[in-house]
Order: sequence, then C-alpha cells, then structure tokens
Amino acid sequence: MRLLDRKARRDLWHLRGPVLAIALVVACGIASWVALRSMYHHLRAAQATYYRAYRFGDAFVQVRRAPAEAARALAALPGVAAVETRAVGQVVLDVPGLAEPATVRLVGLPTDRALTLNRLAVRRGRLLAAGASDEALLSEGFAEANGLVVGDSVGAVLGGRWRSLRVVGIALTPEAVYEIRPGDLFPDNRRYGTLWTDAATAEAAFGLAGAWNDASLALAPGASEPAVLAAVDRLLARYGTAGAYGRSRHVSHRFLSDEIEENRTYSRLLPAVFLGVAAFLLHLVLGRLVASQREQLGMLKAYGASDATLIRHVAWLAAVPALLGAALGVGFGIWAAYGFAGIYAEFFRFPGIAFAPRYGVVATAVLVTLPAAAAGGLAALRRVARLAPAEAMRPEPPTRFAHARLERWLTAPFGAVGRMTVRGLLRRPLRAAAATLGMALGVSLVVVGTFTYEAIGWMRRVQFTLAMRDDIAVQFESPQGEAVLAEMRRLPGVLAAEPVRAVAARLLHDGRVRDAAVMVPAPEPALRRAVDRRGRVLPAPTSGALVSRWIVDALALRQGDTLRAALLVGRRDTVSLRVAETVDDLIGAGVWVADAEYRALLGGDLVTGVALRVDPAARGAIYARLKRLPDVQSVAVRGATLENFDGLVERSFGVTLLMLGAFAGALMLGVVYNTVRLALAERGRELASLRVLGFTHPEVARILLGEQAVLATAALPVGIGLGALMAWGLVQAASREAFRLPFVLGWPTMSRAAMLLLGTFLAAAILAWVRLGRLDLVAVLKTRE
Amino acid sequence: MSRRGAAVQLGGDTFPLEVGVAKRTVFHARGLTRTYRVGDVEVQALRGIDLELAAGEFVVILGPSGSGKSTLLNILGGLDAPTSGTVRFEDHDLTGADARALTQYRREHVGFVFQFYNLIPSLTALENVALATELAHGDPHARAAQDPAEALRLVGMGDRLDHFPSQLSGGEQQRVAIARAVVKKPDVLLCDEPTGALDFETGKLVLDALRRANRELGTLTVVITHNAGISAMADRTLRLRSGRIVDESRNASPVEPAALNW
Repeated sequence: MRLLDRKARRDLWHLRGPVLAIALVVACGIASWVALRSMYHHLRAAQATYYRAYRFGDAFVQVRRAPAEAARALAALPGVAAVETRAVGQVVLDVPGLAEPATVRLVGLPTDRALTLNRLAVRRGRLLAAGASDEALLSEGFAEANGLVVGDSVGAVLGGRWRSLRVVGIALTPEAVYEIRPGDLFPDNRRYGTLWTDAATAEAAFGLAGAWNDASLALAPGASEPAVLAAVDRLLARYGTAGAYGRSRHVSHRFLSDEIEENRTYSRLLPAVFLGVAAFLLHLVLGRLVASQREQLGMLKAYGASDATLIRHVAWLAAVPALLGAALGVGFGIWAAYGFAGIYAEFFRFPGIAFAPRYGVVATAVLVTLPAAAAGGLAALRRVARLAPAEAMRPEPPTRFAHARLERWLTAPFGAVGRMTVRGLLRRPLRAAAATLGMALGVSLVVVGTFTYEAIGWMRRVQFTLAMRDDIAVQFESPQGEAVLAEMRRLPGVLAAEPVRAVAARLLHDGRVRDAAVMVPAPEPALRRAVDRRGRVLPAPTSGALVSRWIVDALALRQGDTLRAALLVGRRDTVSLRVAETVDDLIGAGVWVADAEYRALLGGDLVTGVALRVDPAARGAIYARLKRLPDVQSVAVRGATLENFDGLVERSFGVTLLMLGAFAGALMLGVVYNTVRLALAERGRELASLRVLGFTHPEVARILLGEQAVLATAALPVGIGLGALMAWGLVQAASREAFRLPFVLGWPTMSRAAMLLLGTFLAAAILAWVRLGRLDLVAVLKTRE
Repeated sequence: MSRRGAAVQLGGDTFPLEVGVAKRTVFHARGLTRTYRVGDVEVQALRGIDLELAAGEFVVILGPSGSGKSTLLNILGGLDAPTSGTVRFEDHDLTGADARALTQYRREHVGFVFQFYNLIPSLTALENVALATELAHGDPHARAAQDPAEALRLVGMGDRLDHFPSQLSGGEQQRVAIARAVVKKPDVLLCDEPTGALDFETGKLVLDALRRANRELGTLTVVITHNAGISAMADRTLRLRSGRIVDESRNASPVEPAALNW
C-alpha cells in the first residue's frame, strides 16, 4: 500500500505541530530515563569496581588509643578477614596560595608494606618512600582545587612542631569518594581534604606513638555484620570506643549510595509521568484524526481495504511521534548524562572510571516508548476496526449532549457562552481531568524544582545568618581550659571571642545508635546559636537536654526518657542525659545542655573551640597566626564556606532547575497546545458559524479559550498540591543527619509555577487567536462536518 | 432612495422594473464582479450583477452549482467582498467596510440560515436562539429582540425548547436555526439551501417557518436554492447562470409552502 503510506506521510506533515509537541514530551521522558538510568548504572558500577579493586573496608571503628596487640586481636575475631589500623585525626594545613588555613584529615600510612584495606589509587607521583618523614600525599580533589602538584610543599604544626611536607603523590581513596568536612553541608575541596604521611609522623601528631585510633575491617564471606560489630565493641571497650559501624553509616558511602538510589527512583518516576502524558496526547490527536477522516476511512473500507491495513496505517501515525521523541530523548539524554557525569565528577571521585553511554539503557528507552504509543493509539485503532463502511460515509450526527441534574445546577448561573463551556467540560470529564492532570504535573515539576532552591535558600539563611554569626571558627585538637579564650582575645584584630563547647558523642537508646554533638548554647548575644527550623533562637535548657528531632525520631525517644552518650573526650566514657525538650532543627544533629550540666558531665571547662569575630583588615595576620597554633584541629572561615556553598548550589542546582523548568514547560505546552488545537479542530465549524452570526473575533476566542482557561485554572492548585506532596516526599527522603530540607512553599515557588503555566497558556492563546482570524466563514455555510 | 423595486440586466442593458406597491429598497448592488484565484486557476464567480432588494420581499435565487448564487449571498451577508462594483445596505457601504464593520453589520441587520443548520451542539434549542439575543444585548444599535421562546413558537418548535441539537431531527434543527436567525428581528434573512439536507415533507415545514417569519416580522428573505419548486412561494425569483442574472420573474400570487410540489 505505497499510496496509503504516502497518505500517512502527508497526514503526519499536516499534523506536524501536534506530532512535534508529543515527540517533545516523549523526548523529555526518554531523556530523563536515559540520563538518570545511565547515571544510576555508571555510579553503581564505578562504586562496586572501585570498592573491590581498592578493598574498601566493610566495618569501621574509632578508639581513643589502642595498642598494636589490639589490632592482632581484632584480626583474630571470627568473621573478620582483614584489619588495617592507623593514626587518624584532623590538622590545620598551610597551603601556598590559600590565605586562610585549610583543614585536612591526616592519615598515617605504612611505608614498609602495601595496605590491606582502603588502598590508595595514586593518580600522580608515587607512594611514600620508606622512612621519609617529610613526604606526604594529598587527595586529588584538594590538590586540584588548590593547584597543588607533585613537588609542592605544605606546612602544618604536627605534634607541637612546625613541619614542612613535600607532596610526592596525588591519590584517591575509596574512603573519601565524597570528601566532606564533618558537619559541613557541602564539600569544599579548597579547604578540606586528606593528607597522608608515614605512620610515625601521624602517630606523633596525635600522641599515639606505637598505637592507633582508627581501624577498618574486612568481613569474611558470610559473616554477620551485627555479630562482628558487637564483638569489636566488646574487644575495644577498654580502649575508649564510640562503637563500630558498618558501611551504611560511613559518611562517604552513605552520600554516594543515597545519590545512586535517588537516580534510580527518579529514573522510574519521571519517564512514567512524561510517557503517561504523551500517551494521553496521542489519544487526543489520533482520536481526532480518525473522527475527521471517518469518510476517508469508510471509503477505503468500501473499496476493500482490510482492517489490518487501516490499523497499520493509523498505528504508523502513533509510532512516528513516539519514535521521533525516543530518538530526540536518547540524544538529549546521552548529552545530559555526560553533563551529569561532569557534575558528579566534582562531588564523587573515582579513579579512571569514565562515563560511557550504555546500549542497554538506550534499548530499553526505545522499548518503553512503544507501550506508551500503544496505550495512546488503542482507542483510535479500535474505532478504525469498528468503523462500518456505510456508516462512515454518512455525516457525523451532532455531538450528543443531554441534561443531567449536576449539569442543570452547574449551568444555571451562566449565559449561553458560559453554558457552552460548562457542558463542553462535563461532556468529556475524563478528557478534562486528564488535561488538567497533565498541566498539573508540569506545574508540580516547577514546584518541586523551585522548592528545592527555596528550601536550600532557607537553610542558608538559618545556618549562615542566624546560627553562625562568627567570622572564623577554630576547633581544638583536645579540649582546652577557659584560659584559651583570653589568649584568643589577645590576638590582634580579634573583636570578640566566644567559647564553643561541643563534644562528639555516640548516642544510644533502646539498642539504637546515632552520632551527634553534645553542646552548650552560648549566652546572648552569641556568635554561635542554636536555631530551629523556623529561625527561632533556642535558649539554654535549665535542666535536662534539648535534643534534635532527628535524634529523637532515630532513637525512638520521648520527653523524659534518658539516653546514654558515649564520649571520646572528658572524664568519663559514657554519661546519661534526660530529654527535656525536642528541637525541630535543620542542620546537623545535636544535644544541648546547660553550662553547669556540661561541666558536671565532662569534668572541667572543656572548651573545644572558639568562635571569633575579627576586624576584616586583620584577617591575613590572624590566618597566619592560626596556621601556626598548636592544638588547632580545624579552622572554618564563614565567608569562604558561604562562597563555596553558593557556588555549588549555583552549579549543581542551577542546571537541575533549568532542566526541570524546560521539562515542565514542554509538558505544559504539549498539553495546552494539543488541547487548544483539538478544540479548534472540533469546534472550528461551530465558531465560524458564530462569526457569521455576528460574533466578533475576540468573542469566539473567549468561547474557545474559556474551557482551556477553566482547565488551566484548575491545574494550578492541583499542580501546586501535587508539587507540595512531591516536595514533602523529598523532605522525607532527604532527611539526613547532616541536614533536613525544610518544607517551605513560598511565593517564589508558587508564582514561578503560575507564570510558566500562564506563559504556555498565552502561547496557545496566541495560536488560537491567529487560527480564529483565518476561519473560513464562507465554507461553513456550505460544508457539513 | 430609489422607488424602483428592482432592476435586471439582460445582455448588457439594464431594464428598470416598476412595481405596483412601492417598497423601501434596502439593498443596492451595481456592477458586482467577483473573481477567485484557486491555485493557478482564475474563477469568475460573478460577472456583473445589478440588483435591488426591497424590505419585506421573499426572494428566491435559483441557479445550478457554480452559478454564483452563494457568492452573491456571501457578499450580501458581509462575508465576502466583490472584486469590483458596489453594494449598499441602506446607508451602509458594504464594499469598503473592514472586517470589524462587517461583523457589526451582520450582528445588527442580518440573519443567516445554513444548509446544515450549524447549531451549537452544547446549547439547547432555547439557548441557541437566546445566544443571538445575547449578542444583541448591550449593543446600543440593536433593536428590542423578540423573546427566544416566542421565536421558537413562531417556527412551530414551542414544545422542544429544552432539547439539544442531537435530540432533534434535521427539520427541527433547521427550524431552530430559523428561530435563531429571526429572533433579533433582522432586516434581512439570508438562507443558503435551507432545505438542501431535508426530505420533502420536512423541507416544506421549514419553508413554512421561513414564510411565517417573513410575513409576521416583515423581514426581507433571500433563499438560494437549486430547487425550482420553491420559487412558487416567492414574491420574486432571480435565475443566475455563470455569474449573471439571466431571468427575473414576479409572482403576483405566491402559493403557501404546504401547497408546494417538487
């Protein structure tokens, strides 16, 4: 049937607008499938390969100080296949070209043997030479961000002595695929990284000569993780441990695994939304095509065309937009995947695992479009099959309308034009509902995208303008007495200094475990304040503890319960705290206690850090001084952190937001354009008759767009509701120890969604206006539909 | 204003035709031509028409397909413009009017009846008719319209007010269309093959409705058709062929639609 194929081609050309609009919606679905699914496979494979090749540990434990025998005892535990122990801690590093002090995780490396676990992938240079105590390796992200290369030198106060270290290699470790300073919201490669030195240097830096404070374990195949963890805890109890944990609570592993899982979730959700809407649009367009070609199809049947031939003919019309969309989507998806891979490369560091498109993902993309096309074409194909040749040659009777109780009630307040609108909607309630849902889904995508941005903006405000009001925060290697404050205040350029009392603790209740800091809120006006999710400053509790909701939920606590806190500093290993109140906070997870209770629990002052407000002109001098101070474990500069935060949000969320906006636009435009076009096709004759009767161009435009306007108006609240629901889901899913997304749906989010919807509606309205201007008033006098 | 009832052009000469009762002339058309370009082909639909139509007349324009009768009707109705010549409706010059003025003209003065009724499927019979009054409503130039239900009773549809088009037969739909056309009391009722899609008996019912509207409201009614049988009920019949008026006849005693035969 070559001529029928030619007819199909010409029909497609005639319908190029709707075909293209549907193809775009399909393309969005396929692109999100290809891009997200590719990322899922890429990250998962990269993670698995990396962990296996470089023997990432299965379990981890930190202690205050344990001797070498303890390591041997660990290795002898049933279920433990390998053990690697070392000295680990944080130090402040002087990096050439960086004014403020950087903070690094200093890790001791054996130089006489290869690592059994957490092996390093050396990217440049070499490993440490045996006995070379002035050599160091740097993590790749940190070195790149600071422009450090092999041969450069960095300096630090180690074990009370200023040491210059020569960089001999740049490396990666499976322990820090996601390298983030504890307590930070985002990685800051310029100011936080990993530094490896020989074991002796690291041990000396933390006063651990011949001992260790950090162990990684590999489990034997088939070993039970909880059993091994419990055995490790029992064995190490006397060395002061905060408890062993598995990969699931390893920070870098958690972030990476969450991201992989997120890709998987969205790779299912987004294509389902887009392909569902595409199927609906296809249903509309093909339904209209078959209705308007009734007589042609009837004639073809009368001339002997078989059902199969005609079904194949119409099926082609369904397949073309689907396949065109799939092709566009695959192309765009692969392009986007390379873009995502580039963004991920900034956050997650893998050795030599480059992204490459997967043919399997592309193939499944094409396969999933076909059911969508079939679903969209089904009704039209059935109509073709049922069409009786004689019936098809008769004109279609007027569209059926009948009174119903609801209809009478709804149309009562309106004039003729209003009644046309209401009855048009009521006659095809499913179509009206589906069109509304389609537009609403577009709105909801805008809402979710903008919500994320707004939520992060809210977090930024809470964290950086309400909670942290200092310029520089200094953290000490070991708790200090009150005297350190006076010392800090004496530094030239320091305007104010406030003690920070916060110790890391492992909280235990009812067999559950969470890590958090036990803190004392500073008296007002404080530089560092405890702030809840609404931005309210929390006063110090008089007795008992204020506990983050995150911890309360995670440990199944109730007000009045008592929890145990295992501490790595202070007089005692564990203390008991009574839950006085729950705090709904956003960032970190903490337990706040009164000053007196803190002193009583820990014994002594235990100043763990200071928050400083400084004269901007004196910053350079203060930085230089801090780099050389012994006992300083970490320095955080608020301005730099904020700059890094804003940059990351801009780079990563900016792209996501732009893409979501484009996808939402395509979705809304696809729905609005096709429904308006369909209305024009179905009602063109009716509207032309009205023009002949004396209706003006604006009046018929009002009739045509009235229905669409009702649907769009309904789509806005539905879409915002759906978006809010999705945002709520996101808040739940993104609830982590480091931060909780606040559920804020403000004007920026809602107005942006409304603007985009209004924009697409106006675009369709302009199209309708132009088409209505070209209505053939003469033809309606003569032609039947 | 001319006292002549009509003029007819035969072989290039114009013969004024005096009528017994001088009626107010509403349409003046002089030298109307209309040339279409369809693809590469030039079609001369009208080749010089002079015409006058008086208030209250019932005029039938007969002609085969392609004779130009629809084109003439479209020009009279303000849907199309002549290539040359002039048309005046009372003091409106339709020739030079823009789309807005023509819409206003249709709204105030013209009622249309289509071959395929062209009712709005989502409105009941009553509402379809009321739509036309809604249009006139708020228009300072519009005269007081008839009651829509009254208009439907006039065409014998008083008992089907609340029915949707899909619940009416073709003849019933056409009578609703006539009620819609006459409800605003237009000066002229233009009907394009009003019985073309109807059977004999139903067609006569529709023609009866037209006749009643013409008599009771005094509306100038122009019916174009290729059914010569209808001309027996007309006051005047014009025959068109190839874009020219080739014959014009007056009927001193028009018959009632019920007595028509074709």
